Amino acid sequence: MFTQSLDFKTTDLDTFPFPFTSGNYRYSNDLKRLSNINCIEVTPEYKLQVETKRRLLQEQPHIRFQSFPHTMEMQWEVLEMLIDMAADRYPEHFEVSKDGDKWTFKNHIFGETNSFVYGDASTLPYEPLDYIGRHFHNDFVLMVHRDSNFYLEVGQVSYAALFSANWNKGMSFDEIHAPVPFVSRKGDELAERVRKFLLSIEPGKPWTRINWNLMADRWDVNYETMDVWGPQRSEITPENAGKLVRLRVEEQKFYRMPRSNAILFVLNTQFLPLEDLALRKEWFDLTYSVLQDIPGPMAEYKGIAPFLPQSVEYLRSIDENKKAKKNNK
Amino acid sequence: MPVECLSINGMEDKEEIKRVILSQKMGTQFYIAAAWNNAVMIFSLGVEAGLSEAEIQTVIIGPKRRYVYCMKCFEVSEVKEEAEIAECDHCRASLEIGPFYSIVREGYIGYPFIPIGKEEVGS
Repeated sequence: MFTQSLDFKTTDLDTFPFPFTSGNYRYSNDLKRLSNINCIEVTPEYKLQVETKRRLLQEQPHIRFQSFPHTMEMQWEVLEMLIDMAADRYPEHFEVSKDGDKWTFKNHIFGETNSFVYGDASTLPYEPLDYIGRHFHNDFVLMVHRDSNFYLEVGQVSYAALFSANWNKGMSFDEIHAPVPFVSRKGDELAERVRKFLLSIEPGKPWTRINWNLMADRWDVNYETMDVWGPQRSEITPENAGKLVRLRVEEQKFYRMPRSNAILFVLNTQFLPLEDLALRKEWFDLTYSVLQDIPGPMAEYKGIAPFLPQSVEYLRSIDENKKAKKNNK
Repeated sequence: MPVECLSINGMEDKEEIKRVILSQKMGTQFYIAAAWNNAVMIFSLGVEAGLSEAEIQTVIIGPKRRYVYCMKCFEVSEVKEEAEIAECDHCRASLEIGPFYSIVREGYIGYPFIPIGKEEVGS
């Protein structure tokens, strides 16, 4: 049974998408053009993350994967894109051979070979996106474009942050973001601006942004387990925050799919315990500054209000120790 | 303006209702004023026939029903209109009724929680 104990963190800091560029953070439409359009990444934690993801999908299929039956063709399009990207970027790890509709995909990291008929879902063990998604550590969400809006019609979500594929299935972008109680620095409705931006994304020109949160000793927090992690958040103290509280970073990439016109969200989620921030002084200083300055409503919305003060207190004590050592030299 | 009158006696008239909806021109606005059960039936048939929800307006005559979608067992329970918390009819989880509604799940979100005092009994 999946326990949610988070024995996992980013070890290669160069692959950690650190989110802060200034000492205070407010919501904004901070989308940027994606420089490397290939979303497949194999980090030192690849195997651990993918194995965990597969276990979640196995144990909680209704929570972790949702789709509508009419999305098969769109799912095949995603499968094709991800397989081609994987084989292109990591030919030593992933291989594909295509003989007309007869495809064979090899994942050398796991020693797996699957042959299937492209377009025939009965030749795969799972739906196409659910199948190919089990080879990469990312979450995948397919938002279908209709009536100037996007509707969540396929979702494989193993790193939830107050999100549920089961609940959000079929919802429009506006409905999913309805509770965002914030306006941007310029005073605009943020979700509305992002939706309008997503409408303008063109095939072959993906965009990216970084979202962040804090996790209190959890792999993820979804609506289904709110009764469990809700009370656990208050178990964080300034003494244990360094180990138990992780900076959770979600690198989001948005692709316009050329055939279906849907937008594919590819989410790369990584964790760094607060104690590891000290490995990079700039990261420590920025995070300490940002967390001190989080407005109450934002902390509530992110679900971090019950352990944010303890986390800031931990960082403050580290900071004071550093300063004291410096002064004693 | 031509008027067509159709007497509806329940789901046995389903095909006839659909025929009327399907014979309308594009852009037709659809107005429903009915008791809850009848409104749900007509509304569902309208959507099935291809009307978008923006093209349908509904006024419920009499009491409304409200449902909560349990995030523990993914079943729907009927709740009182003004209720803030509820117990799932299916798995007995305590649910806090959130403000968000899902057209697909046909209910308001029900966040599971452990009521004060219950955790001590359990442990």
